[in-house]
Amino acid sequence: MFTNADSAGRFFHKITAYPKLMLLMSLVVIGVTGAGLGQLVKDTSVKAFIPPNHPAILAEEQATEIFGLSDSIAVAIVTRDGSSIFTPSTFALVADLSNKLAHLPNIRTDRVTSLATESSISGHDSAVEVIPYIEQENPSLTQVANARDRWREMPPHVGSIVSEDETGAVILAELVDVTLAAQTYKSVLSLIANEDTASLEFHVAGAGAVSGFLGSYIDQDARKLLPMVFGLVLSFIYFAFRRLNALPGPLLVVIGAVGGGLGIMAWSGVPYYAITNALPIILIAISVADAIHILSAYYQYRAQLPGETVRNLVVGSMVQMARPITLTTLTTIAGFAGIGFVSIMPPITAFAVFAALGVSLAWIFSIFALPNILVLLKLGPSPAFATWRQHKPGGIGQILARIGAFATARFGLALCLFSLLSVIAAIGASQMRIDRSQVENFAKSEPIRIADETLNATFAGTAFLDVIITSDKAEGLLDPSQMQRIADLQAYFESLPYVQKTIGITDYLDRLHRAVESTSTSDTAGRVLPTGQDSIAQYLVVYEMSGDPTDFEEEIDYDYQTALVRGVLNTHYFSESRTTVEKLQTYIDSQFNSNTLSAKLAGEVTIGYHWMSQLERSHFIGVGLSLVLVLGMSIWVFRSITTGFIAVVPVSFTVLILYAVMGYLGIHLEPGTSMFAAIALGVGVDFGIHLVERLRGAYTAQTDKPAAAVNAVLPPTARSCFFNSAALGLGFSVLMLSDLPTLQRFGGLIAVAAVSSYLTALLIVPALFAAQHALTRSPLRPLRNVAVLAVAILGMLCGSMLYGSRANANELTADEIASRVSARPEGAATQRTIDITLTNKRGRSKARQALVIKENRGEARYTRISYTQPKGIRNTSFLSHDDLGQSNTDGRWFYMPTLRKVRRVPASDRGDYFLGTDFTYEDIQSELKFDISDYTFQYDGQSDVDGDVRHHLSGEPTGPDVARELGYGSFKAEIDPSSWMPVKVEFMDLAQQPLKTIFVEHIEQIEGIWTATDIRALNHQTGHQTHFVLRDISYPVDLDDHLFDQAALARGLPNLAK
Amino acid sequence: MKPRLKSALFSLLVVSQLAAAELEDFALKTELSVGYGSAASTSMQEVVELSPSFNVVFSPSTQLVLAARMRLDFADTIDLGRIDTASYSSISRPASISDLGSIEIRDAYLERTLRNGILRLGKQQIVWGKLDGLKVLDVLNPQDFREFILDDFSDSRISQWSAYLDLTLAGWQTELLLSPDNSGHQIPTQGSWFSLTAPRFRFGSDSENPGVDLQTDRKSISASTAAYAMRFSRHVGDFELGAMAYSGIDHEPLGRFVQRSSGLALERFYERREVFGASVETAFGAFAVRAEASIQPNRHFNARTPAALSTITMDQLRAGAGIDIDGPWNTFINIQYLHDQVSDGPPSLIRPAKDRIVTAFLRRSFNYDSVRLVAKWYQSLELHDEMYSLAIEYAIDDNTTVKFAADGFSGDPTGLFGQFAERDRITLGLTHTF
Repeated sequence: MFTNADSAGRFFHKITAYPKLMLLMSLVVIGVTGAGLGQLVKDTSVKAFIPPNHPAILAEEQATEIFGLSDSIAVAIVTRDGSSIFTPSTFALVADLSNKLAHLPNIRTDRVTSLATESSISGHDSAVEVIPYIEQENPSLTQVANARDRWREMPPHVGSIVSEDETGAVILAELVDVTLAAQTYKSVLSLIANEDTASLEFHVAGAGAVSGFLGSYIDQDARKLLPMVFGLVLSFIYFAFRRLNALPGPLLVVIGAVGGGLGIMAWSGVPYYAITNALPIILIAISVADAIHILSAYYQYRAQLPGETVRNLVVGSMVQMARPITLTTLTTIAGFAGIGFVSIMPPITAFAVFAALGVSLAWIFSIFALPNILVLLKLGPSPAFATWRQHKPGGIGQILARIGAFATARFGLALCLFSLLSVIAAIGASQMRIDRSQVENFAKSEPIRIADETLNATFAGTAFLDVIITSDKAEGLLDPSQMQRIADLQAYFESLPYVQKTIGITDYLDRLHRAVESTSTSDTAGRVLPTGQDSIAQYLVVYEMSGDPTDFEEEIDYDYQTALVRGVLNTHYFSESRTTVEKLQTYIDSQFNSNTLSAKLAGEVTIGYHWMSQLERSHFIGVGLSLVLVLGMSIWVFRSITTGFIAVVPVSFTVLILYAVMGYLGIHLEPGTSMFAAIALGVGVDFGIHLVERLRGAYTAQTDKPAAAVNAVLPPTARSCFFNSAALGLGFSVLMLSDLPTLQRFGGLIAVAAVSSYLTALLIVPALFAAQHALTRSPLRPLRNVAVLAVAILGMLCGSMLYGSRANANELTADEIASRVSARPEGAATQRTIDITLTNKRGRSKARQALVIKENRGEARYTRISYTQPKGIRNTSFLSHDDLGQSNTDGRWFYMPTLRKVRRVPASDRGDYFLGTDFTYEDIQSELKFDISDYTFQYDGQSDVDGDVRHHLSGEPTGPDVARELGYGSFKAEIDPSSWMPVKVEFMDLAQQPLKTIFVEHIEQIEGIWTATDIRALNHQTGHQTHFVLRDISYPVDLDDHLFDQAALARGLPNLAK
Repeated sequence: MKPRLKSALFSLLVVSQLAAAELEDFALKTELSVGYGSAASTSMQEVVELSPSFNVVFSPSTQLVLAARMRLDFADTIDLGRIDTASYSSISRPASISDLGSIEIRDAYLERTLRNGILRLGKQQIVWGKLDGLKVLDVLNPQDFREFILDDFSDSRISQWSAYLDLTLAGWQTELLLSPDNSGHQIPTQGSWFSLTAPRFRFGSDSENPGVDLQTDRKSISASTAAYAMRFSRHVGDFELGAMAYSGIDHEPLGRFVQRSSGLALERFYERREVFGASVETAFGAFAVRAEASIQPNRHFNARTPAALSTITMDQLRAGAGIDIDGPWNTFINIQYLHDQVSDGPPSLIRPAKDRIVTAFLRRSFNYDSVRLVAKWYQSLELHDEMYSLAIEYAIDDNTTVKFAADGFSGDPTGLFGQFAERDRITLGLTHTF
């Protein structure tokens, strides 16, 4: 048996010819590669997940370069009893802490922002006064009261440096070097530890703090978890073989794979990202698996052939295990390659590359180093394998073999059970969602998470969405019209969800203008900017005479060519902020950007958005590709399609199970959990490969006795795989001891994957082979090839999984389409004339003409419709104020010239038909958009209409009340993706009977905004039609606010000539 | 500058303005209606109305609005004989067209649109009340009661020469009015279809008593007869709040006996009155709610004893509330209540010390607003007399409407509505706008 007759035998004889030399060479390789660990650098920031040449990263770098922005640490001081912080003692505390913070290492002394560093702008006798809020160290009560009054008149400071309800003040300190954030965070904690907390709470948060704290978390985890992993590995190897000298070989493979993998990563200059924490754990688990299989074979031979030389036993073991180990290595690499190919996120790509490299190193050390260690150590027999002397498997092997034998005997039952579980898992998988917030990395009780939640609740928020605005020439922003466009952008920005406020140079110009004009903030809503050609330059000069010329360096550059508008959001969640980012980007693209002024998005929220969007786009493709690659590899190595499918079914099912667990437990798919599917696929396929490899051979040898074949080969393989699975499961479960919830979830899920893939393989692989065997001999010839069955099951699995992911993807796509339709720009204001033709079912028509003006102000939408024809209803006007944020403040008014008075009318049913047309009030108001809060959407695929793509979107009201309010039971729409305009919408009534269809006959781009200019509504139940032809359309920057006063309805038709 | 030169320049200015002016929105509303008095079993109405209107636009913000109305009643029952113009001021009187009818200017004002308001100078209607058909704050223009309250108020309200400024200042809608026009309510002449026969409108005399010779004492236009009014309103949260003050001629005439050479005569005369009021309006869900109240301190009322017809001054409180309901089956429902109290009114007070009226209005549109069904009901809670009206309108096209209506009255003949118990009618009207 142990001869060098075959090529594999000759190869391993050569490998083991110079064991010391080979061992020495292995140690040199480990030393050289492992030496790179000293070069390891960490990058735990969110930005690391975006390619460095991505526009969002470039914009962020521009923001840093021009405006000096960097991640900051926020120290919040909040009163415990809800009282005001405008007291002398708190002022003194803020001043003291600001000063101390400014002098901490890694804090930019000139970029500490608080009540102690900021000033108010006010006017007196047409002069501008810039007065610090805290003018002296221990202010008097009068001075504090005065500061409070001045602060109230400074919108940029309300909600930012002091909360709007005055219960909290915040000190923002920007970091010099983000990579040193962990130390700085600790220093800040030490600083506030000495403060009196009897009446005040102190919280430390902010992007810098989170980043720093995450860094320190990773350090803690690495120190805590790695020794435990090693301990577990050693104890498992000992438990498997009950010999201490069985440990050095596997240890060497582990050290070679982990040290080599991470070392080469460090040598390559690839940083240690947040998710890289999982890499050593995975490599340990995979490395020890190879070693366990080889040692098991060795000890089995050792028991069966006591007289054989150690070298021959080692060669025999290696010959037996080299093929399955190589196969599992190749399939694992294929699994990781799937992720690496698809992801463009550097950390995930790096993870895939170095995991594949580590697996390769594990194979190299298992093939070249491990046999030589075994030869040198001259391992004796293991008591765990004593029964093999009589060619009888041990207890664990026998128990596991019985499970396999049961699946073989009752393969029908096993496959039915498996099918049922697949359906349950698919349902769970369909509930999985893509979402993330940086603070979710921390436990709910962690002070930093509490701090973040407190800051978001008390102050405007801690998430920043920046807009960099660039003029085409130096000093271009001194042009008042350009500045007004920025103010309009801010007004729109502030109307978006979760945006608490925006801060830009316009806010300070507004204050300067009011100061010069001696008007109060409460006198006129919105930003009031000077209009004179040179007025902005003059105002800035006036300011410099009173204040610090560098005060605006965060808002506008020295050349007045680039400005920054910072939006403050009170959410970090991707699912919540994505609409805001998308709507703002659409506004910038369609309404803001011009030849003279352009804008781009930057900031943490933008980067997070792109990060998660990338994940959303690539994850399922990556998993799918991994599956295909593993399947292709399995088919190639077994030279059989049937066997390839059988080998992949268990791990496919495992991936589905993991999605299901995530769906049922509400675990979001995010970067931390996104890798597990492909990892589980790569790791879990090992069991299937090992079992298929052994059973395939046995079935070939004993074609008439499947039960005998299983009994013969399953015990040793099942035993090895059991210890392999246990090592993986427990190895990954170590991550559950992490303080990082993301790592906890990751570890738990992979442990589930390891165990479930093993159990699935143990049941399904024998069952599938038995089914194949039975069907091959069945008179039912068409079914004899088990490939059909295997393909069917795998197809079902993939289909189930794809259903889950597709359902999810479709839901997301449907939401995304609805969001895009909803985000379609409609201009800050619009005016147009509508020619209305009403035609009844007998073909009789009425013609009307109306002047329509609309304006969006923050969350509110104002619409005024005044009839100009026919004469009998001329000047009949309708006005509505719709507060999209608070529906209870909606208002509608009618003016009928015959009554000569404006009448308030109920605004209860949006589904009421508007003035004899086939359009409801909601149709008129919504501008052919679908309110996302009204419907649940479904994507129904796409079609091609004369070469143009049409997305098919359907929606159902979110509840019966909404349905009644809208008057619709459901709708089906065709969306033109080039404009995100519905071109056809079919509405059903509450009984789901066809109600009406709206056709958008013609759209055109007017002033950059897609506009429907010809719309027809056909009521299927009455045969009545309404035809709108829109003309004289324009999108002014704004309209005179007074046009939307209800009093204005009685003042005649709106005069839009000016 | 010499006067002649001034005149020449002014003429040039006027001519240039007129040359630049454009005539816009000419419309001629024609209305034909016939009526049958169902209780009296007689044809009671054969009316033709022609109402031309147009605007002369001088600039986008300046225009002259002109509208007139010629009304001919061939049955000569609504306006019996020549209309009584004595209640009109000298500058507002309509012209009679023999006994057949009259012609009058409805609107004739120059309108200037301001940035956040409007200025109107000329003959116009200004409506400040919130309630429908119940006058609490709608006191600026007198009313023509030729069809009692069955005509649309905008048709029956009498335009007045006035200067009106409506501005929105810092969120406050500010309205100022100055009107030298001292016209009073137009009361139908004795014997016309809707002549007021209840004693409260006849200075206490019995309806059976034709009364003595009626004369009118109308003061010439002066500062003492002019009306001044102001109103402020604004939104507070979801409520629209308003407050107003009015000082001017009381449109309701008072009576007194005077000795003339021809004998004892009953003379109508008009006193000033002050009205201070407030209103509130809001909407929630399917409801819109409005309420208004006014106090008229020291208002003049007639008191009558068997021996004399005198004038006394008392405080009067009027308050009303209404609700619009977006009802089921696409119905519009309006319910209102009015409380009118003269505080400490003596027994000799001709009008009741207390009036309480409840009204209900129901409207339902069909076939895309081309068919409209309207039902109205008014009841006085004091005497339980009532008025009801049912109308159906069909818009043949955008400019042509046919209306069929039935109006009925019942109850105590001394009551507001009961006085017309014999005046039930059925009318058919056709309106077309050219």
